[in-house]
Amino acid sequence: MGFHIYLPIAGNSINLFLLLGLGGAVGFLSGLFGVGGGFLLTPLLIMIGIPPTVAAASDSNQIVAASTSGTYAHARSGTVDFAMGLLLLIGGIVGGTLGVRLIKLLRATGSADFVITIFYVVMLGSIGSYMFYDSIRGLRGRPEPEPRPPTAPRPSIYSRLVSGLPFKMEFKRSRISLSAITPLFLGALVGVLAAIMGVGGGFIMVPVMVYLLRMPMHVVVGTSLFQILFTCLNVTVMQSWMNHTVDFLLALMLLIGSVIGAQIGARVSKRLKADQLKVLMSVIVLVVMVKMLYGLLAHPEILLSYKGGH
Amino acid sequence: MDRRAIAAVVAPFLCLAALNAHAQGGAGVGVDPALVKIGFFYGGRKVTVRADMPFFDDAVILVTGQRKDLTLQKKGKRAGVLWMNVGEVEYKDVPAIFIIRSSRPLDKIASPEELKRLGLGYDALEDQVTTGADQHARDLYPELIKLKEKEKLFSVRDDGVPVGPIVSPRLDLAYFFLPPKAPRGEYQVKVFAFNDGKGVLAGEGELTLQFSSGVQFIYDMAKNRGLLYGVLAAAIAIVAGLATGFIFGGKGETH
Repeated sequence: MGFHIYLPIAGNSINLFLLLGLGGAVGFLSGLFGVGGGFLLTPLLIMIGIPPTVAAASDSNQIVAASTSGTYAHARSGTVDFAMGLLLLIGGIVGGTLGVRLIKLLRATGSADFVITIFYVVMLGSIGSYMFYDSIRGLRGRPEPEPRPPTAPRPSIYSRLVSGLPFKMEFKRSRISLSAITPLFLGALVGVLAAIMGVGGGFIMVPVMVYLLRMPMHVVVGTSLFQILFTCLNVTVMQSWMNHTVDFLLALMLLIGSVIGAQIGARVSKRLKADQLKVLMSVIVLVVMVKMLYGLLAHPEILLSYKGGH
Repeated sequence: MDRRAIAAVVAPFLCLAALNAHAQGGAGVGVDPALVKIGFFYGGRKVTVRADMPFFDDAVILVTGQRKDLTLQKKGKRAGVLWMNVGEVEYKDVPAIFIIRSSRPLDKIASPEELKRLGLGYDALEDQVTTGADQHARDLYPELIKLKEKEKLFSVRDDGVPVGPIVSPRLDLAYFFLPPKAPRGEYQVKVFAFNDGKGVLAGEGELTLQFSSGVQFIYDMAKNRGLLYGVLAAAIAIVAGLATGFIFGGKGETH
């Protein structure tokens, strides 16, 4: 019974060091990869006895602390593209609102759980596999390009589409120039997915920034954290206000661990190569995907569960 | 018939009658502590049960809490291979906790009918919570027990209760552990005495579980002033994040 802390909203008591450790581990990943860590922490919290709705809401509160800490560290390093982050955030809020309406529609048809779970596995599987393949190629050293033909190669449909858009902007930190519509649209897309999946969306946003916005990896991490900070800030206040599901004591224990973990993660991040970061991130995404897939295929230990959660 | 033989036959009935009268006379069960406060470092509580029980072969303690209807999600196969939530099942009057401690395994103490009559054991509980429920709920009743046992809210065990007779009214009879997940409220502690497979309610006690003032303050704020609570929670998280960033510092180099 020693070293337990009672969580009034969760209605349960949990070992103090377990919460600090979980917060620390997820904070470390947050600082390292620029993800909120909700897709990892929420299932872990449910596993240790926190009701699903409280786990998801309180997780957002602790992500506010971890992402503030991480954003601060990255901002000092000059690796946050605030302009890009702001556009992604605006898109994310619009997309999130659309996503919430979409999920209500799905729930009414009774197929929400099925769609969400399949979405999770497919998204995690494809993002993780591609990142893994790409980063391993990068680590091994990409093959020398074949001698160029006399004419320039045809750009992809995506490149042609993006380069043709109006409202071009210079993103100095990212050293790229593209239309403001692109991050707004992609932010909205991630917002829809994040709302459907019930997560902050960092693990989708990072690959989007790397592969679709072509941002340098070290700027991606800081910018993603900046965007996650505001997304989770909104979720914390709204969940507290509308659903009363934020357990501040739970969030406090997690955030004490996570802010320290995020700082360590941000420092380690600076010592790793972009491809090393990507391979680690892809392995984590794939592990989560395999765990989810196993959960879908293996006979459940108990055939009943409480309502709520992702 | 020899006088001794008559006494041997009559004695158990007399004892039983005495116990019955004892119970009807409102014999109390001592519960220590009778009031459990949930503070910030609460992790459940061991509770001792004391009873005045002159003669018995076996004793059973039943602890139950507030009852309410429960809707749960059931898992089933979709597309032939994928396990996921496929619907809901409802149970009526499910107790917040259902803890039984006995001197021996219940099936060695009394017949299933007798246990059901007294509301002891999971079979007896099944009748209470599945009344009017559909066949799915009845089929999945063992899963409800598994779910609740995993949370330590339900448990049926044959330990912690000494075999009688107990002569002192203040003697510790048994103990049970109030799980940390037990919700606030009133709990009933019943002690049953068994002789020759027949049981009587020997006494009843109450246990109250409530928040300490600090925990109550946080709970009330979260429930009644959600917006302020959310803004404060977010503000504290930002300050904590910035403070850590400031303490850890950083030279501003990138990799």
